[in-house]
Amino acid sequence: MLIPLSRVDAVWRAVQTGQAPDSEAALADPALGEAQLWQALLDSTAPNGVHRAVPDKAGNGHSVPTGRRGQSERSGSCLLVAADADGVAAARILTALHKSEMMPYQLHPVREYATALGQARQVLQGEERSAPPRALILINWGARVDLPQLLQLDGRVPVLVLDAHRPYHASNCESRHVLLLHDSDEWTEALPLSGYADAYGHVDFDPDAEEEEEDGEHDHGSEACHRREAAAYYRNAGYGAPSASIAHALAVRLNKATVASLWMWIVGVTAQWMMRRLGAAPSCSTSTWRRYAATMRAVRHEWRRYVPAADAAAGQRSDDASSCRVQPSRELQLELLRHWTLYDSLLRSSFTAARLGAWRPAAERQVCEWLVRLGIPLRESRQRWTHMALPHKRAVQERLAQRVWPAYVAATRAGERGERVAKSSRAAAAAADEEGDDVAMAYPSFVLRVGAHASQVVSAADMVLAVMALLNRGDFWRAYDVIVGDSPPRVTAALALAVREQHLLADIGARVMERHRFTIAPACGCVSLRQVPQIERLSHRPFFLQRLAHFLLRCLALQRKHAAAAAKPLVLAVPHPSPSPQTTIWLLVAARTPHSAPHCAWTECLAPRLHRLAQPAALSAAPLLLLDHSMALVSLPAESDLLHLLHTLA
Amino acid sequence: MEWDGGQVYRSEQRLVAQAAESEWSMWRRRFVELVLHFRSGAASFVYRDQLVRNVNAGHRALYVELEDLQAFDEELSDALRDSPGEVLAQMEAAAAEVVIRLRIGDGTETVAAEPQPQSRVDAASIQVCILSQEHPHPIRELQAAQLDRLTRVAGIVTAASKVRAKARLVTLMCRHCGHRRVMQASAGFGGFAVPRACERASEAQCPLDPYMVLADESRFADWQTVKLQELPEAVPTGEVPRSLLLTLDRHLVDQVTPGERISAVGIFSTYAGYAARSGSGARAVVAGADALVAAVRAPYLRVVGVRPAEDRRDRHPTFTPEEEEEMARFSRLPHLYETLARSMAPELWGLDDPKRAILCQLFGGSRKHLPDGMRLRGDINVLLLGDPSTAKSQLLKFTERVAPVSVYTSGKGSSGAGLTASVIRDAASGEFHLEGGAMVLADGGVVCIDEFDKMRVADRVAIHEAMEQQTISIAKAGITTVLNSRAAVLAAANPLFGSFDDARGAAEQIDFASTILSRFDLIFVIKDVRDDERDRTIAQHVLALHQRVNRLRLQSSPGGSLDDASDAFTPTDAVLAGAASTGASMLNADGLVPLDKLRRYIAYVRRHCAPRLSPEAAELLRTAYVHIRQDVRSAADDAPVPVPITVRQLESMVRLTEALAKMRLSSTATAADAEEALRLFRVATIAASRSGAVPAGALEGGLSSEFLLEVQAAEASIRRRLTIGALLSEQRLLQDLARHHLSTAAIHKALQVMLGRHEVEWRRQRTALYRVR
Repeated sequence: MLIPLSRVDAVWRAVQTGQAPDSEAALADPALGEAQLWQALLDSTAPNGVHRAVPDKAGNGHSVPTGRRGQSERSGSCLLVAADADGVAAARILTALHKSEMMPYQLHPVREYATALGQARQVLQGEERSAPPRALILINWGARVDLPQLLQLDGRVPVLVLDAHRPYHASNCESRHVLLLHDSDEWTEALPLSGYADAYGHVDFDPDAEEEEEDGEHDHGSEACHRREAAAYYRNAGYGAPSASIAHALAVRLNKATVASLWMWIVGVTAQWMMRRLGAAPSCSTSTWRRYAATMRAVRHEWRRYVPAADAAAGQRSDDASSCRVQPSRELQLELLRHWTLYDSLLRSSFTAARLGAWRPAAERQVCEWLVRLGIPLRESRQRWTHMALPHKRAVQERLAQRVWPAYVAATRAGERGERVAKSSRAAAAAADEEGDDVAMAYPSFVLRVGAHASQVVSAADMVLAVMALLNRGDFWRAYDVIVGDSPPRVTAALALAVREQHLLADIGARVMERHRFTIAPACGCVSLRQVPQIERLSHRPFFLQRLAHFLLRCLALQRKHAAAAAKPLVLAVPHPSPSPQTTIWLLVAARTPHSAPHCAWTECLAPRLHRLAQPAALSAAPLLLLDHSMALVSLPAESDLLHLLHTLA
Repeated sequence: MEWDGGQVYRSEQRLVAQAAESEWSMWRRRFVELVLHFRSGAASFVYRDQLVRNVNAGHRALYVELEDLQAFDEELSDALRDSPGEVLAQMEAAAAEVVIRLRIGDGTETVAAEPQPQSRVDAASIQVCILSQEHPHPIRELQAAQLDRLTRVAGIVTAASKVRAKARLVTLMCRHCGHRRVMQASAGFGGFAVPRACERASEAQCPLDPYMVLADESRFADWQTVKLQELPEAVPTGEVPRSLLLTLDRHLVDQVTPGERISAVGIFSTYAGYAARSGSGARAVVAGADALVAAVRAPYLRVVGVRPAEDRRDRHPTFTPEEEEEMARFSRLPHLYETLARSMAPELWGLDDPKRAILCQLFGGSRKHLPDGMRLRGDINVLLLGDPSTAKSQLLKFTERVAPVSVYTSGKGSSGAGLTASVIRDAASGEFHLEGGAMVLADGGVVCIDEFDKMRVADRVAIHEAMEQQTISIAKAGITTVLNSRAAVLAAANPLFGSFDDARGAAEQIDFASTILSRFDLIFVIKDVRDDERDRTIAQHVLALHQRVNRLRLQSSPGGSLDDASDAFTPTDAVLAGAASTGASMLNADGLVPLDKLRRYIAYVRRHCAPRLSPEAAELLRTAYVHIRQDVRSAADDAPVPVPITVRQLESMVRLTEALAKMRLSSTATAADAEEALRLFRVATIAASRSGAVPAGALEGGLSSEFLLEVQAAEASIRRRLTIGALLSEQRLLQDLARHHLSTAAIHKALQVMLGRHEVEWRRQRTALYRVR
């Protein structure tokens, strides 16, 4: 069932007692919810061992200490976390809630449906040594698949789902055993009738076949109509609010929100925004940029509650180490600026590189020109940011976003229109504000102080990159540690990885653009990365590829001659190590701009066509399902088949 | 909130405090705050603890990371960057203040025993050293704009002067009235000026220049100058490396040794250079321009912090536990030897055995110390003798890059002194000191000498001692010393006439004395064989290399190539990947070990492993040696052997066996290792020896006893024709002898023997013969 945002605290009772709520009414009644909360708080004093998450050597998660397990008939709750930045952030909040109530828990990172569901099933049945958990909490996955069916839920164990992926599977909304924490109080969309979609939300629906039928007989009955509706519903893949924000809302309702949980919220939102997923829900009409700005205003409002009054009023960083660790700031869209050099940042950030065309020789000259306008010597710009002179840092912060960048954007615009340069840079800046994220260099965000002192800070975006860099290497536990940002050396090491990935991203992006390694099909743009040497190694880095896809999409959109491509989603095809030499496994990564049409849910669209194309032997295993619907693994005999497939994709 | 800070709050209102406090004392106060209050983590007061620890240990220095300074107080670090001299002085004063305030160490001595405030501070004085992570400034781009600013440079130390005492506080006494005053000498090359008039305005008029220096009451500090040369990779192509003078004082003295790669943080300053002081030289050039000469000053760097470069080729590398674990796992991989061999210069086709030999050389055998103090070398020397364009030099270059410590030179461009050590007269002080040459700089590593044959014989002889005894003894200009040069030599040479002539025997074409040849453990003869199939393969390989664009474009940055995807060593990486558990994380996609990891592995193995022969391996080597000796002796009956087989070669087999065991991080060398060592030895040295054992006469069918008699006759008639000290063209000699019905083959053979005995020598570009004795 759907739990509206204002009622999220009611589910906590279920987590504590390990009993699913009796009826929807129990959840809907605010007074009852409140009462349950208090009861739960009283109950929670029962002595249960606090369990600190300690990574297991083998990395398979960890379990509750054995000493306690014998005493309670039910072990702690079990959190299955999708290994992405939002998931890690949400998991951090939930584990903090568990700790504050002295409730034991287990935490397992999961990566794709097969293992995730297997693990969930195993947990629910309870191994021979341990009892079934109090509650099963799925973080950032699960809403899109038919959980009651796949997990054979019987209501013994409540299943909580916090997931940003949309659409919800209808049977999840209908089942009483699944508590789906929704990101708002409203639910506008009409659910399709259940029964048409399979457990993974595939609707067996072929538009071509359908058309033929329609020609023949119009009132074939509601059957086809419902089927079409269901297909439309499930194809409308998108994203809701990040699960970290739901988790934070839960913490707020339970009165246990802290600056730490606020930071997790910020990280979750920033991660979504960086992937241009914010407000990408099908029903949402506002632009990503507006949505982000509104969310940040809300965060800022929330932030004031956690800081001393004087601090908040001043709204600026204080040198006192006891002040709040999270501080609002205005960040530049230059990735990792604080952790490498200004020059690299200007040339390789996805934001500037796309507009500059960093693959052209003129790009470096343009960067030098900006530096001249900022009054920063070239040598200094290649020095690490930390070691740049103070006036120069100020110049960047004050003048880059306000003057130099808008002037550049205006000039390029004017050049494009064949007009003269815009009247003044101020007018350009105003225009930039209107157009939002495509042109504005500065954006409101927050920074986290990682050390004991005021200037050891990491911005939310850099933290997201650091966490993603670690997750790309499959290092969930290190990411889980780093996201808190309480150990400067660990954060620095993670940021160093992020810097390397950014280098790589800019290089591969430049290579693709420079050599025109893309084709533009009617439905989408396609980039095949087969030509990039050693690319197979990168196929294990999902977030890297997602960012690369977004970067390329942005590059294409900003190219005049490829502007038509901007409205289409972009598909990145990456060869994946394959067990047999005959077939090639491709990892497809999709990206779309918020302006483009809602993109097709990949697996759904591709699967039937794949079945038609590929030999049965090669596809004995159906496409592997990844937790995030912007990526899919397909196996095909040849590259031409893939291109053909993408071309026919309507 | 600091635990001992007290509950007193303060703020800088920018109203009164700023005006009252001078800029300098403000920096001092801020630095005191940093030392007392800087934290990393919840409750570790880094600098406070460090200061207490150091002072209690009698080490009066405080090492401050510029990043921490930045994090704590950005303005202070900015001020330090802009006017380092003054701010640093304030920081040292501040550190001293903290010592007094915290009453660290023997407080009674510092406070009570010395009543004068000046000396009290002096007794408590602490040297503040600054360390930084910023990108180093290229030495050749240090310009006037950089003067008097904090700068970080990186380079190789080429020379270090001996430590001198520099006065910091000089006590002067007036000759006339006995008035004493204390002068402070400035740092670096700076000095002090003796005042001309007595300070005390007494009734007794003191004359002009009354002061004399009281050396025993002055205070001195250690002081040293160091010459830092640009890193070879930073030198633009076609330019000469530039160097910079550094001054180090107090605790920084003797921290660096020549040959070490360091990075130093310092204040870029100037001093009146040698030319300006002596005047004469410069004046000769710019006649009548004294003023100009005085204005030109030489730059130097007053070092305030130095650390060994966090360079890959660290002389004393450190390994993280994760890394050690990974290497231990790697060492247990099956087919490790083959994997390593394939990782050697993968872009070079063929040369399998030379590559393996060089691999053994990189790992080296075990060095042994006998009870009587004798040392047996563990380093393996390899000689590659071959036709031109057989990738010898490429292999050398690769070795230079992969060895943890290495020096590359070319035979023609290096002199004996340059290879060993030279005595240099210091231009500034006029004293003599030693500068280590290539063999000394490569101590603990590999010396790659290309064009070994082009070297003059005298220079080549210079490294005889270094190659076997691993020392270099010097007795020059009053300096008598023995330097360590525990380096392996990898030399490449062409045969005598540029390329191998199949018609002639190898012995004729190898122009090395047996003394030097016997010092090489392995000698490879690399011939450019003309074979269609082979040529085709090589051509294909080379063309593929030229066609392949296997690098992503690099936009003027060091990182960012796809090599990054191979995940160089970082602690984070070592843990990642399930592959780590099998040791495969050391391998890249092609199943090869990347260069940097190979280098780290070699460095690690060389440090941590010294295998010994197992009894079976020893037995195997013993029988093999006896056999080889026998074979060679029977073959050598007829002709001189180009490569002699001696006890040295037995030792080389032992070393090779040990090196092979070392690759596996194993502590005992097995019989299998010994067999591979023997195989290498056979394909290399023995093959070279064999190929030379084919005498010229044998081409016509065996060396019979008649031929031998004929050779002896030829020898006798050559002696008759050529008296001692006589010079005769070869042509003429041959003609003369032909008249005595001697076959050309016999004459050549006889000549060869006599040349071998050094009875005759070639002169005039091998056209004339000269009888020596």
